[in-house]
Amino acid sequence: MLSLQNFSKSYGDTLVLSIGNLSFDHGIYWIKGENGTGKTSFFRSLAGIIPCKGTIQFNDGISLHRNPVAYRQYVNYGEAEPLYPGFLTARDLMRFVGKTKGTAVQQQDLLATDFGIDTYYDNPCDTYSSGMLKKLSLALALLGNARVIILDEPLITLDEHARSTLLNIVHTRVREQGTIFLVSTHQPLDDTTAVTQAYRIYNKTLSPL
Amino acid sequence: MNAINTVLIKVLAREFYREHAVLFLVTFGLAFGFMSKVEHLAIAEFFISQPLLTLIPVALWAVYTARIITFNTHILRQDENGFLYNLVFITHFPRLAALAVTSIIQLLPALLYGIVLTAIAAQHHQPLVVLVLLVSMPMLIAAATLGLNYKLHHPNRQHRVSGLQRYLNRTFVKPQPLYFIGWLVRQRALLLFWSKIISCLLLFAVLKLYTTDDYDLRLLGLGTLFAFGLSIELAGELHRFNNLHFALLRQLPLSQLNRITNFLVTWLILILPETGLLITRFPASFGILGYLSVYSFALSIPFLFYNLFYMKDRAQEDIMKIVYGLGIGWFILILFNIPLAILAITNIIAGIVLWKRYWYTFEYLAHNTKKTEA
Repeated sequence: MLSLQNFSKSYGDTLVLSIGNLSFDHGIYWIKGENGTGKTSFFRSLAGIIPCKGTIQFNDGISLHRNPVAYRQYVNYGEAEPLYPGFLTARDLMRFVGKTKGTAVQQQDLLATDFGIDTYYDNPCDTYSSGMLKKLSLALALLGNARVIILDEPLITLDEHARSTLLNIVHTRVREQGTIFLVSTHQPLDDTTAVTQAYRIYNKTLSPL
Repeated sequence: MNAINTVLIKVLAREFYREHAVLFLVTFGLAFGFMSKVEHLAIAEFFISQPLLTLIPVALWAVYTARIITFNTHILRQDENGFLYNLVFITHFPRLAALAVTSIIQLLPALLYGIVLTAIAAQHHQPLVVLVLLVSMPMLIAAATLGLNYKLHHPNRQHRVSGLQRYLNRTFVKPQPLYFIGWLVRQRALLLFWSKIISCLLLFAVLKLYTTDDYDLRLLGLGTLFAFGLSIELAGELHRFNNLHFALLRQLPLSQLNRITNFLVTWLILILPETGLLITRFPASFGILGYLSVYSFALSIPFLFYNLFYMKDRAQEDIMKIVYGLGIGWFILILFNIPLAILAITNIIAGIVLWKRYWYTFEYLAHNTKKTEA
């Protein structure tokens, strides 16, 4: 379980988001909100990319601020609009991120095959289309045994096959590993995806729908 | 002037002059500040004395035209300028005419000088030179216009990955310290090139002085300060790479020790040319301890600045104030014979403290992020 206490994110003096108490157990959580309401800031804060205030910790005590390295081991993040250095290949990135997340090479290559990345595994990123980059970012976000996987707009630019692959993996991880998925998307999820809870960011806070 | 010309001039021509304002300022400053009318005329007469010599300014204009084409390509690739690709839907003649007007405005300094040269050549009865100039100027306009037209028709150049490159990519997975260097070589090649050339020349000159006379270590300390002080901008680029261009790095479970080690390895690779100079030309009289103190001082300067960047996302002018302040401080301390090893240790400790204190709390301000992405 991941719990948040007195979470807040500001840019300078401007408060973007404030959450009193909230916890996520295993399942799929759909975070909704209009553009500019702070979804990405929320996700990037939880992922440890940008700073935030408050307590964010797992139930075994591993906390974003007190155990930053261990926390990052358990939280993965897939960006809405991923961008990687153009000369690196998908293989370079999978090996690098996989190593930091303690992932076996077999799992990396399996994910690459599932998403169809293996066909351009050794081409540099600057030759990829936005859909290819998106698949790579999703595969990177699914590496390792993360407790929380945050996917910011995971369905945009995805083809039907990749979308189905992603949703299958999400269902399997929730069912077999008890993973928490935090997902933001403006597109509807398919009928088979049982969302544990939907939230909406409104008026600078997160409220259940 | 129609709407198309207005947009092209605003997006391409005006931006071209804005980006190259310093270059034009220096060129005009040198041309009209230091040179008299007689000297200008003498140079012009030299250029028009033979058709072969006329090719000197023509070659320079060709380089200038190539720069215009690469600049226009760069502008077209920016997301916000994607609307310009709609120009391909306009029929040939009005489109080419509009592109030619923009190209002429961008080429204006070269064309004006070309007209002056043509007039002088005509006065000196040099018909062949006049012909060369009258042919070359429209060619420049045509090259810039057609280059821009080609880019409008080929927005997504096909990247081909050779079999050899794929084999190398499959066989060798790139190590992390090469990420930044690879990025730097592709994105900031000129910055890397000039900072290395200048720092190596500075170090070379200072080390050369030791072969002619006896100086103490302070001279080399000052030389090191200036030579490696130039790498502060590279340290800034590394900081932006690690926190903005490749922000995924911040999300990965890498220990502080791992991140510091990666910084050091990256930096040791970056300063290989200077290291080579120091190893081969270091004055033997200072011994290994002298060498280590100079080298550690050289490393400590970018290390301290790299970590200073984590304190706060500062504006360029604020960073320059800090650079000058610390630079003057080091300069005075070196003159007062404070050992370089002590300065190095102080810098490294300060760097580590800043790293530990600010690494997790750092974030780029929105306006600086936008500026970089653009």
